[in-house]
Parts: sequence; structure tokens; C-alpha cells
Amino acid sequence: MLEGRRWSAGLSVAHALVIGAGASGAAFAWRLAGHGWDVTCLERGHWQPDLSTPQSARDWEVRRLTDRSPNPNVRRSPADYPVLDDTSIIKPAIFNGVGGSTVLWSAHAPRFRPSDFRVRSLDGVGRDWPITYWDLAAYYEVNDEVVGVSGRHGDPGNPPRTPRQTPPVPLGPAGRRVVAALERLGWDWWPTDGQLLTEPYGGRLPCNGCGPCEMGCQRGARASADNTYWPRAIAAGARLITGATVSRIVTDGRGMAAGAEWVDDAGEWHRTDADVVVLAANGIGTPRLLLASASPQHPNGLANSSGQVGRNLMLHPIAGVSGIWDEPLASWAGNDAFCLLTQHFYETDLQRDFVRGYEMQLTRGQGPLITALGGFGLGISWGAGHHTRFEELFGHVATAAVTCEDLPHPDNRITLDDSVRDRAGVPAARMHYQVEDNAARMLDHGIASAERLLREAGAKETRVTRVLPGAGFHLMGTARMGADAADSVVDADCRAHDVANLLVIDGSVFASAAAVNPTPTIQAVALRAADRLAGAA
Amino acid sequence: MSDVSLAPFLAALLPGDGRWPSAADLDLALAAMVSAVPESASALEVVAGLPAGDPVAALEGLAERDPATFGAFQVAVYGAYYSHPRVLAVIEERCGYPARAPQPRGHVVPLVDPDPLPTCLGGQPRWRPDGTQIADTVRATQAADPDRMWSREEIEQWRP
Repeated sequence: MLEGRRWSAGLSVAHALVIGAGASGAAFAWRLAGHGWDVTCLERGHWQPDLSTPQSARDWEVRRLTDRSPNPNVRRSPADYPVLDDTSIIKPAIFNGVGGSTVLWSAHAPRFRPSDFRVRSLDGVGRDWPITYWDLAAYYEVNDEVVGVSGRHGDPGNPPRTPRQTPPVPLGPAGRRVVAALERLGWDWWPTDGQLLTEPYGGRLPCNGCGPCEMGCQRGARASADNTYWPRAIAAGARLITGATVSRIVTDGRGMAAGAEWVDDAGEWHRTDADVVVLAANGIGTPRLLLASASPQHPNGLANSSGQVGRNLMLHPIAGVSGIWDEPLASWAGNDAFCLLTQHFYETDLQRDFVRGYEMQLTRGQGPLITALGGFGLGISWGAGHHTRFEELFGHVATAAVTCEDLPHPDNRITLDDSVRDRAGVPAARMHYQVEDNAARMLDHGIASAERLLREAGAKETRVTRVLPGAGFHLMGTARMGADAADSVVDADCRAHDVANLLVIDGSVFASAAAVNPTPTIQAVALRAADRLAGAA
Repeated sequence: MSDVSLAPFLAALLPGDGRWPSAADLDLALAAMVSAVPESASALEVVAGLPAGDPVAALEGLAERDPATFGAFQVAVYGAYYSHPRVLAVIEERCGYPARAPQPRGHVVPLVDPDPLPTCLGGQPRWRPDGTQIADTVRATQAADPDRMWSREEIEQWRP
């Protein structure tokens, strides 16, 4: 494998080598550099030019289906690695570049609840985390200050938090109808937190309601790790090397992490040595690299004596229930993915046939092309009658997204598939994922609740997509955290049980998935891991 | 493949109705779509080779026996159609959606008055205790003063 490679002269030495420049890697690099550590980050992708987002082009929706697709198998960027997904009913939604998948995300930013960390103790399912909400509470606040969060404090449905950096995003006409319905039904709701500015903050502009946050934000209103953490991390001394595709983590004779081998865009190979190696490559990329870094000391993959690397993939099955109103709602206006959240069905209720629970967030409508193609199960035929139906739908739709807690299952997992390799010769990741029984029952309940809510809000028709197939963006559990080295990959401080100088800091370490978007928790975990490594917490 | 050979199928897929133009009557940028969606090149070829006598039946047959090819054809044609200036002008006229790209001007969310606040605002804590002592302490403080403005320094004190 090593023959024929062209190597750069000499080795460079870094104190901590972070692999992946996304949500977790950026937060970690900033925090650790702030403690005086020498930090280098390797990122296989590149910076995104400020004006590279396509929302200024007339064919912006075509771009959403092609080169700005969140699915790497559709996008086919040179920076992407193959993710074989025919064994998963939910397809991957990730991005490789500075900022990682926060470049193409919608910025909904609720926090986990305290109970989410104690699911085994409270409900007898899954695994407890070896840390609690209270270990992370202060880090959530640090993260909010860096990224800028819109929202409103005072939610009695969650532990207290500080006043948000900017006010909440507007509810809009559909949101107001749904809020009135929630109040009539007696279901709790809250104007949810988002990493999306509604007023200027930190030198960034506020949102102007263009719609598709998940295509990138040329105004910088929507936070992504490249416009929040990375400028700070670089100012603090961290080095970021882009176009650096890691092939494996190198270990020494004792089986400790020694650094990483990587190839640049020109095909030249490099090795960067480090005292500590930190994996931040997301719930797919991280287990892929661990498994690809097998060695005589670690024959089943690095840090995998438990056999848990790659297993317990949790994605959040999400149902999309769209309401269609007679009256026009201009539902294309505003950030498309969230304006309110109800956690009324979030906790275990023994009267139901499932444990744990789900949240519902209200998303707005889509653009003309996605509407015409029947996105979110809208049901619109081609041919005669197409345009009549289009006029009934476009601007008249809002969708309740039912996000269900996923429980860990060993067969939902990431494996290597050497039928395809990336430019560094690393086998493709293969996703294996089915909705487990508890979540399936939860989906049924959530869909019924969403239909009831939307009807109460005046929708004349509802359309259901039982599991959104493209929603593989919450990637958790594939190198889980635990106190027992026989049953988990890393400890409470994100250190690998098997390799003391190897950390995993992304969503892979989640022992449970909760039923909310994971990014703020990913970032809080990464910030805490940096403090723990530096002895500052 | 030529526009002539595709025309009956474009008209069948997206017919005009007096307000909306037929896809066959527009100069659709299908070449650009082929560039953006490589799968559409072969799909357009397949459609162009279908019997044109009854294009609706021909497309229905294709959708049934080869949904992937039909889907690629549909995405290519819809993509070109729904980004065409004449179609965008109709959308603006019929639906109120501005006939321009979303940026740089954005869209204004219609507002007539401030958004309502949840009636649970100021209410008692509703989150589930996790069995820790700090949870009980925080809940008690939150219950005593639901509208309290918490500082980061106070929250720092919760750390075990």
C-alpha cells in the first residue's frame, strides 16, 4: 500500500491533531488552542467561498438537487468519500469542508434534556451517559455565545438558560395558526432556539428570510463552524490544513496514537505526528477511520476491543406531516426548517406503547421546484391538472417534522466496504440502518399527533411521509461513551478506553440520541473534552 | 435527441392551460440540466425514442416500468421549466412569489403584530428530573422564580 507514494520531506509535529473541521473539531480546536495547546486540524475539504451559495441564481433549486445536495452520493464533490447506503432506509446528509456539515444545515438548535442522559436509569432502555446534563450546561452557554442563538429564554420545558443572543425567528402565518392550535389542544410549545441570527451579532448580518438555510448562508446569518469557531480558533493559534484526506491514524509500538497519514490534493503524502489525536469526522467518518486504522495491536480497528466501533448508529427517524391550507400563507418566506417546537410528547408515558418520545418542529414551505416535484409527500401529478394542484400547494403548506428518539441497536451500524475506496485508498463507509420497533411505534403516534395538530390549525388536507429518506444528518452513537470499556469506546472525557491519547469528540460518542437535533450537544461535548484534556475542568 | 422529438412528451408532462405555458412552448435549458444532472442525458434519449402517438400513455408506461429513468426525465424538465423566466413570472402573478432568486433580497415574513408568547411562559418547570441533586435544586429555584434571568456564571455553578 505504501509503495509508489510520494512523501513530503520531514515530519511535522503538533501537540494535538484534530481530524475534521466541522462542528466539533472547530469548537475543540478553538477551546484547546485557548488553553495554550499547539493544535493542527486536518480537513479533507476546503473553505467555501463567501458567495458560493447558489441562492442568488435562478436555478437555485436545481443546485439543491445536484451539486449542493446534502447527500454526498448525489453531490459527488472531490472532497467527499463514498457512503454506500442501499442497506439503509435513511440516506446520508453530510458535507466535507471547513465547517463540515454545518455548511449545509438548517441550524435548528434545541438542547438535550437532563433525562436524555439517563435513559437506562429512568426508562430501562439504551445506555446512560457517564456524564449528565449538568456537566454540559455551562458549555452549552459558551457555545451559544460563540455561534449566536435566536430564541427566547424562560422555557419551563427545559432547565434555565441565559437570555438568547437575538430574538426568535418569526412564526409567520402558518406558525401562528399552529400556535393557536397548540394552545387550544393544551400542548406545550416554545419559539425554539436556532443558530440563526435575527439581529446583527458578532459582526454578522441577520437573516433576511430567503428560505433554504441548508444550502449555505451567504449572509453569514446562519451559524456554521467556518464563520463562528474557525476565525476564533485561527486567531488563537490553531492551524487548519485543508485538502488533507486522512488515510489512517498511525500507532506506535505500544499501540498508542502517534499521528496520522494523509494525502493532499496534489497526491503528495504526509505524516503528521502528535501527542494526542482527536477524531471529529462525524458519526460516519469517525468509525470509518477507526476501522480503517487496524494494526497488529488493534486488529479489529483502532479503539475497538469492545467491538462497538461503528455499532449503535442512531439517526432519528423523522416523519414529515404536511398541512395544506386553503388560504395563501407565503410559506416560502423565512428560514425553512423551524419556527417553533413542541415537546409535549417528549418523555416516557406508560400509557403509550413505546418508551421515550418525540418532538415536533414546524417547518415552512418549499420553493417552486421542490413543490412541483411533490417533496414532503405533497402528492402532485404531472400532466393535466398539474398546475391547478401546484397553485393549491405552493405557499399554502407547512410541515410538522416529527423527530423520534432512536435507541441504540447493534445492527444499525457503519462498516467498511472495500468495493469502493476514496482518494486516500480508504474503503467506503457502508450504512446499515432500519427503524427499530420502539421508534416505529413512536412514528405512528407522532404522525397521528401531527395530523391532529395541523387539522386543528385549519389545514384542509394532510400528507404524510412516514420516514423522510434524506434525513441522515443526525449521526450518533458509533463510538459511544461509557464507563464500561467492554461496552463502549470512549470514557466520560471522550478518551478511547483502549488508546489513552486518542479522543473522539463528535456525535459518535453519544450514548443516547434524545429526540432533538444534536449539534449544540455535539459542540458542548467537544468544548468540555478540550477543557478536560487541558486539565481546565 | 432533438427538441422536436421531445416536444410531444414535454407537452404531455407539463401542458399549458392558458395561464401556464406548456413546457413544449418554452426554450428550456435542457442542455444545462444535462450538465447538472448527468443521469438526465440518457433519460432524455429514452423519452425521445418513445412512440409519440400517445405521449401520455408512453410516459405512463415508462414511469411504471422504469421509474428511475422517468424520474430523471422529470427532474430535468421540471428543473428547466420552474427556473424559466416566463414560468417564474406566472408564479409571481398567480401565487405572489417574487420572480427572482431568494438572495440577495430575501423574503419578508408577513407580520401584522408581534408573535404571541406561549401561555406556559412563567409556568412551573415541566422538564423531567434526572435523579440528580442538582436537578432538584435547579427545579426548585426555577419554580420559585420562573421569569428569572439566569447568568452564565450562575449556570457554571451547576457543574458537578
